[in-house]
Amino acid sequence: MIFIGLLSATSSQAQTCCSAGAPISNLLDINNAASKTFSLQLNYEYKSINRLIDNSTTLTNDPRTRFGQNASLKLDYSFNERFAISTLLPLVHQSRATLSESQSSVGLGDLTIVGQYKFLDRDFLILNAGLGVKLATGVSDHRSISQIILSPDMQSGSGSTDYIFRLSGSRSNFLTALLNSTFSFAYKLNNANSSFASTPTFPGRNFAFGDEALAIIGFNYQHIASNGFWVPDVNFKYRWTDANIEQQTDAPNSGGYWLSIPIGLSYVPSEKLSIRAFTEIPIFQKLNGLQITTDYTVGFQLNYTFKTDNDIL
Amino acid sequence: MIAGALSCGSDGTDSRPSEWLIPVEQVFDGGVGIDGIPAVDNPNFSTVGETSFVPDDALVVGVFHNGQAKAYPHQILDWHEIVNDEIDDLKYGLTYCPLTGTAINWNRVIDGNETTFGVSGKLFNTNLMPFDRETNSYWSQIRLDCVNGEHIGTEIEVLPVIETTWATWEQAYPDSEVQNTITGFSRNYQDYPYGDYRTNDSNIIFPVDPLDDRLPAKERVLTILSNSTNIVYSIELFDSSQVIIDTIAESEILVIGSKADNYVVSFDNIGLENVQAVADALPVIAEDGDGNRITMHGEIVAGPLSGKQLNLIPGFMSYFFAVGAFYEDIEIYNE
Repeated sequence: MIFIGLLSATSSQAQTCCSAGAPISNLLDINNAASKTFSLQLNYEYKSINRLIDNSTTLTNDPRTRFGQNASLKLDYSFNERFAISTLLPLVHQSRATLSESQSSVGLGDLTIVGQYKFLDRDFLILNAGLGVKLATGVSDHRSISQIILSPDMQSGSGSTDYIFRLSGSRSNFLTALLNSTFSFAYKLNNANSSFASTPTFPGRNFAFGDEALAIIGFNYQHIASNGFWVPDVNFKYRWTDANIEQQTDAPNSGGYWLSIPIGLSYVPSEKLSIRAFTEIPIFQKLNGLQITTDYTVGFQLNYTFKTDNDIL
Repeated sequence: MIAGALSCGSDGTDSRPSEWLIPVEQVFDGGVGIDGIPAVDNPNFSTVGETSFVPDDALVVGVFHNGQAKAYPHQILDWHEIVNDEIDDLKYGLTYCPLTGTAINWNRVIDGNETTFGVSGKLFNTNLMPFDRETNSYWSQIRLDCVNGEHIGTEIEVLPVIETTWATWEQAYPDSEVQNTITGFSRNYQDYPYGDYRTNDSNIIFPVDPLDDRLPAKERVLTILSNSTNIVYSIELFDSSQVIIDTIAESEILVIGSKADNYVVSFDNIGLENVQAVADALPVIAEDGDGNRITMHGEIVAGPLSGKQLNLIPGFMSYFFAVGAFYEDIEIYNE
């Protein structure tokens, strides 16, 4: 069962250029662990954001190159077998370049805190509900060396307090004893940063990233090896975002939906430790207007779990 | 791993002189970077007859020089914002900002040096800031001057243009050249990339300060700037083809427009009297009491003064809110 929990956090997420901070929705799964269990997870993700899309048509000759990286630290704690809490803190690197200019920013992103309640655990089926908040703790006022405020997608945080609603679950012993299924649905209700780029004499700009919904279904197979488990996984992901809000109105060239296939391979040498490498392959997107969007994602995750009444940090 | 993770902050190559003529905190990064929106430096042209990608009601911007006319469809300008081009000895950069609806033609010979303009990706009052490739100076399109860099304080020379619909242009200038979609870039020129922006008065993407609400934000106006008076003429004034005779800086001007044919142009008057609008005779749009017939670009093609050229005033069409933000004292012509 513990492996299902480990692997339910495996889906990586495509992200448009316009999503400041770490792509949190995919990292919010919390292990369904035994009570009084800590889990520490290190995540790293690299996104190449170089596909120029006009609605669903890929365009060429985009003079930009764009990528984002984030490393995040996630701490989960299970108070008991039903209730757990998780915190996620990312460090975000954004980079953009044309032939004439390059810009980059590095900074702490927004802190996310999620509580999860397991309301069903029966016949190999687990269902969880979660509520979370993303706090405006990240850096959202990066400026260029010429003191021009960088665009919201180049910031480490969004500068807004957002709310997250989740349903997730797993079905072990799916068709065969070693095949498991995971699924999750998350909705992030985004609020506005009403003082983006404000100064004492200038009210700034009112900006909000569009609300986001994410649905993932995945399958993983536990291959027993002599020194642990090898667990390949394949997931199907649907992600939708509403248009960004600029100055209280929908911004053009933002929002849409994406279909992608995240795949990964985990090595689980013990119940405490798992290591996963993953990639994500976009298969279709229909975007509003013209956007640059992710053409591939790679990353890895390291998860260490220990019970407080048995283990020592 | 994350480069420079232990040194949070930002870095880049956009080092610029510290002196600005506008508040730098009100300059916004549009998110695409310098040249992220690629200007067209080698435009290609077709004849009017060969041009099929422009709908009748789409706007085009016309440039005239030495008896030649070239039209630049908004459909291309929406995606590239600047076209660097020339007609004979006239070197110009046709700058266009989709967010303020301003097509302004700039002489790209500055202080005797020829340059080209690119899109900086920065916006001031939600308006395009071109940069010149000769000195990398930043300019403000609607302020019409250099606001940062070597040319700071230099005013740009504005060349006259005419903005109208394809249907009107096609009828008026069937022998002109029309920029075609061979730009060197793959873009969907049939798509307008800004949604309902052209007609939604509440949709203004970047901050504008001050926001002048005396007219609807997206009402299209002809702006004429002079040393003594800045004034706008709304296209809504011209329900039918009409001539307005006005005085700016003690000089009489003719403002001739038609909402139906979708144009407003202005000329220095050369003493013509009893000028009346003429409908359904494009390119002729007006005639005076002596029978002098005036075309949309100011040429007198019939009458006693045939062959004379009225001076087309280098005003520009825009959304009203845009000029209201740059010229707080701007007058609104009201009959």
